[in-house]
Amino acid sequence: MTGLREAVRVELLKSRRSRVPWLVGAGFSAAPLVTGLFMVILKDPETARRLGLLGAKAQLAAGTADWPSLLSMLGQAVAVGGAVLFAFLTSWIYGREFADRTIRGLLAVPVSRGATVVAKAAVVAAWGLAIGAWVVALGFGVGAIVGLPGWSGELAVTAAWRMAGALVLTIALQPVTGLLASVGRGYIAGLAWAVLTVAASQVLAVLGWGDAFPWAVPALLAGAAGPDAGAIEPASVALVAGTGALGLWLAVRWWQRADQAA
Amino acid sequence: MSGRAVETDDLTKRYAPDVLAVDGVSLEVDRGELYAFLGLNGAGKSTTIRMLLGMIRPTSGTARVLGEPVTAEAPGLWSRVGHLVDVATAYPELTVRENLDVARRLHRMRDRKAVGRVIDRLGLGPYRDRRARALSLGNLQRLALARALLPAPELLVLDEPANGLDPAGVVEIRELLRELVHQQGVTVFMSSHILAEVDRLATRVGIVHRGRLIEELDSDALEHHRDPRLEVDTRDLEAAERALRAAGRDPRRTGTVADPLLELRDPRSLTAPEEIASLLVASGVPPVRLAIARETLEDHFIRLTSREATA
Repeated sequence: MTGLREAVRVELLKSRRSRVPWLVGAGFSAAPLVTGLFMVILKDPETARRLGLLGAKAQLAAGTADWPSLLSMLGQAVAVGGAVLFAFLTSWIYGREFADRTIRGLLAVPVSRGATVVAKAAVVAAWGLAIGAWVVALGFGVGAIVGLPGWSGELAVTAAWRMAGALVLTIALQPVTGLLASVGRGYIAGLAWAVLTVAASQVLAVLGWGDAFPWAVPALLAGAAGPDAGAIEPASVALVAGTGALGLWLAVRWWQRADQAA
Repeated sequence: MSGRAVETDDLTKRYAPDVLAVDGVSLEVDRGELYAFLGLNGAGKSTTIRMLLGMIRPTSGTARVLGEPVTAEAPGLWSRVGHLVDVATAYPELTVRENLDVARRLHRMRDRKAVGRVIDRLGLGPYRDRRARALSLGNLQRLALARALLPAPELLVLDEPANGLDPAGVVEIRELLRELVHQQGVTVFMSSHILAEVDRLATRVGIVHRGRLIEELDSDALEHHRDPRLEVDTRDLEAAERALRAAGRDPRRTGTVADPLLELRDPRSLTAPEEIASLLVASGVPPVRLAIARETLEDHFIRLTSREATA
């Protein structure tokens, strides 16, 4: 894996200069902001009634305006939003090389193809962690500004760990999206995969099979995928890690062996 | 530094059972040569170039570059090769300088000043801080050439390097390649559609048609094609050929299958073509056309590929 450090620097420069990671961050920021808006509505029933339908929906989704409700909603938003938006970011980081036909510049150079693939995964992880940390912090900030009741240190730490865990597991699965974006030579295959896995996760979690489906595990941990919320076993974490590692290995092999005629 | 710059043996690429892109191409390019690889669209040029760069795996046959077998992962080899494959591309969100800095890092070069030097060399100074998405096609091509030249390569592999360049740009790149080959000993393996440029530059030409290497011309053969000759057409070429031989001349069959000709290259025929006209009239095979011609590489290429197409 020659030239991993150079490959990481190249991928960081490209992603920093692009609008896509910033748009993903901005889009993900909507999750805590909308959650906060629901809390404002629930906190003031008069305003909620004046808003009519929106107030009724907010009540259905969150119940009461307090810290446990906000952190529960935020956990669900982080799990589902992360699955879709991180897949969008990953599809772009891998797929743009084919869509923009810049792949040629990454071939027949001293930095190995394996290093490039691993560097892309590392940069996805770095952006994912940074965006995720920002979103979780923003959620806590919104809750503090709204002035919700029911705060406890234990609740906050548990929720933060669950959201962090869900984000890390979602990031760990991204090499599979990168593999599909590479094989599909563009953005579409990775995005389609993200939509499919989110839908499948919801169904399998409701049926009680969520812990055996890697893409449902982060949502289970965050409490977004049905009645098994928060109940995941080490085997499920190992399944996610193994799936991500297999995706990364296959992506490296594909880059090393596939014909690049574009 | 051992081995030839480029060496292929029976190199073949089959994309599907009925799609044979490259068919047993064997060629050798010595160091310091400028080898032009010519062919019509779809002839197999780009596939061959990609196989030389490890971007496409051959179905059979082998390729060696700078004495080493071509593999996808060969850091030592690829640090000595610069390439421009097909249409010039760059990261649109990065500036010219940043795009070249990406290439510098991918070539694991520590010398940051190399980027500035290649920018100056390719005349990209006024655009160094312009994003690639705002570059004209010609400047994008210059950027791609700059990227190929950045590692100071021993071998440059260029697929249509003059794409998108205006006439002044074409001349500039021609002079740059000439300088690289003649003064710095760089080997250039290039494909081009601009045959007049190739004719002026190449030390050797390979013509590929329908995946097969159908002819190679060295510098003597290229010079020979540029020599003037007297082209003769009559209604009975065999009788005309006999009459000319009987008169001590040395006519040769040329032209296409559909339009065969005789040609004479001896100085006397070229300086006094009227003697040939008189001789043919006296022999009962008067010429229907008699002209002094000088075949360009373009003429030769068209004639050869059309002959292959009708064969």
